[in-house]
Amino acid sequence: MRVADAAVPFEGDAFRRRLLRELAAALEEVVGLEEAAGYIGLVGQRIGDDVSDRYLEETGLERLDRGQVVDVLIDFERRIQGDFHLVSEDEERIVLGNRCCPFGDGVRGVESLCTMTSSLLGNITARHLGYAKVELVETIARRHPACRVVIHLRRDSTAEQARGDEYFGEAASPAGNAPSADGSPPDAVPVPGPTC
Amino acid sequence: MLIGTLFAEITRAVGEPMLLLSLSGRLLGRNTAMHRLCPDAGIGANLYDLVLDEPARIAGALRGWARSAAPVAGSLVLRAADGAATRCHCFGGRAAWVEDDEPAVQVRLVPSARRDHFRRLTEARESEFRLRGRIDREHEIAVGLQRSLLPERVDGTPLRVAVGYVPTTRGAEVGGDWYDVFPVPGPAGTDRTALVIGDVAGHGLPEAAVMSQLRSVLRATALDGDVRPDRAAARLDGYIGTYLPTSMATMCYVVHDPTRRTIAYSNAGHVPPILLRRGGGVEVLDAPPDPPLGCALGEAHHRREVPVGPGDLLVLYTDGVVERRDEAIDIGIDRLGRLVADQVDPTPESVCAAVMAVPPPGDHPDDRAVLAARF
Repeated sequence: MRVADAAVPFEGDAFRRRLLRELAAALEEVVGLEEAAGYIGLVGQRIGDDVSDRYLEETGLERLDRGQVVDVLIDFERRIQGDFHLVSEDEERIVLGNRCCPFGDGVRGVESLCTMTSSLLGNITARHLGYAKVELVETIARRHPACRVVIHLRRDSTAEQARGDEYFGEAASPAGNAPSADGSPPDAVPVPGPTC
Repeated sequence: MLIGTLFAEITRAVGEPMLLLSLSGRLLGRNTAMHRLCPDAGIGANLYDLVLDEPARIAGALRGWARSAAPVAGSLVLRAADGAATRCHCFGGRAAWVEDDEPAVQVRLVPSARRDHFRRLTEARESEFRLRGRIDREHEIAVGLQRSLLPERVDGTPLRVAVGYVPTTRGAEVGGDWYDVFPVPGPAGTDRTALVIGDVAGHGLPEAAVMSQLRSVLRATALDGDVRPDRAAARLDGYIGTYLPTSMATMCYVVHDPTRRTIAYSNAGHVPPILLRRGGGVEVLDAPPDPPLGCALGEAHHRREVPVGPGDLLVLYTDGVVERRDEAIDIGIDRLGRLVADQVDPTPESVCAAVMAVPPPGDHPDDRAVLAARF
């Protein structure tokens, strides 16, 4: 048999999912779950911003309301081969279910990837609605048959008691020492020397 | 209490530098490790003056951290105390507990030099061997110093007392575990005895010096006469707050009164004493402990009193005896209680020997100290 004819299960998308899972698992092993979550949270923040930007650009909207946020979350997760669906939605929380992890079947035991999901959902929601606390009640990574995610929209006592990560909408640039919108420093702040 | 003071108190025992910053970069608080790394990082300073990164990059990092309560990774190049650039891995998140005009973030910094140090060790085995030889020598010196700071004898009171102590095995590190036994003056004929065990946070020579100071201050306090254990603990708390503001220690201070047939004790954040009754029953004296010394923030210390009889045996120990990685400390305390209860004809010496005979976990176990006294 030629090597090219071997039925090894490698194809682009599955390989990339595997790569992501292995990266997350290696990170967990080397630096621990807490620090791994810090790095994955950063990636989630950047991807969350990019997803938001693209939906805003395509829809021509400047900001999403609650219903549109739900639509974006579900549509995005489905496009990346998750199977998210809306369980319930009101002013206080959005509850989503999911029967298929977008990171593939091998996600079981790699909990740091849940940080990615939490970060994506939380950052997109908080950016448009101001606040989100993402409670991963059940997750496939923790070997539940499906995921159930509660996104608390108000920083009240119910959210306070929930176990999860909090996300905040970007605050307006403060006065005083704040850099200007283009990232340049304010007049009052000396411009530091070149970075070593 | 000011935000900066509160932050310094909360993060005092954290070994890595930590900062509390407003979104605009104003420094609201920092811990002792941060002060050591960068003395210019005082409250009110501007982060943009302390780091060498591009301003836009700093602003982006602050905004990113302010958007998540869970720590998010990042990096900063800090202008260190010696003027050198120190690259730090950072984990920053929103400090939602801060009520200020603008959002605040708290950031833990991990200077990269520490990681590089370990990498060099693994890459250069020759260098490793040389270093290991030096570390062994330093370790001998450190252990010798620590032993000189602990009491040579524990038989100067009417009680039969034994101790067991195994220091940490990490290079020049020296453990902060301490113990002491001394007579407490009181009305004639009372023959009261103080039994003490404690643990100073950290593993350096400065911590050993702190341990020595605390031992001396406690003895001096006890000399004042009828000082209750809770008040003695409060005195030490005040001493640390005033003269050793960057230190923290746990302590369990017990006074045995043979006339009243009681022990009175105050527990400042230490693992609970274990009382083996003459009949074989084991009691863990697990009343809620007070905060560690140096962390009480004005809270009163408490005094507990327990009746004891002739033949009862008290076991004091440090956390290194009961702590295991990935295991709740309660499990270790239960295990120690069973070990003590299983002793046949227990004496202070046999109990200490049995405790020390249990192999410590892992390659680099913490200090282990145990003190047993029979009433």
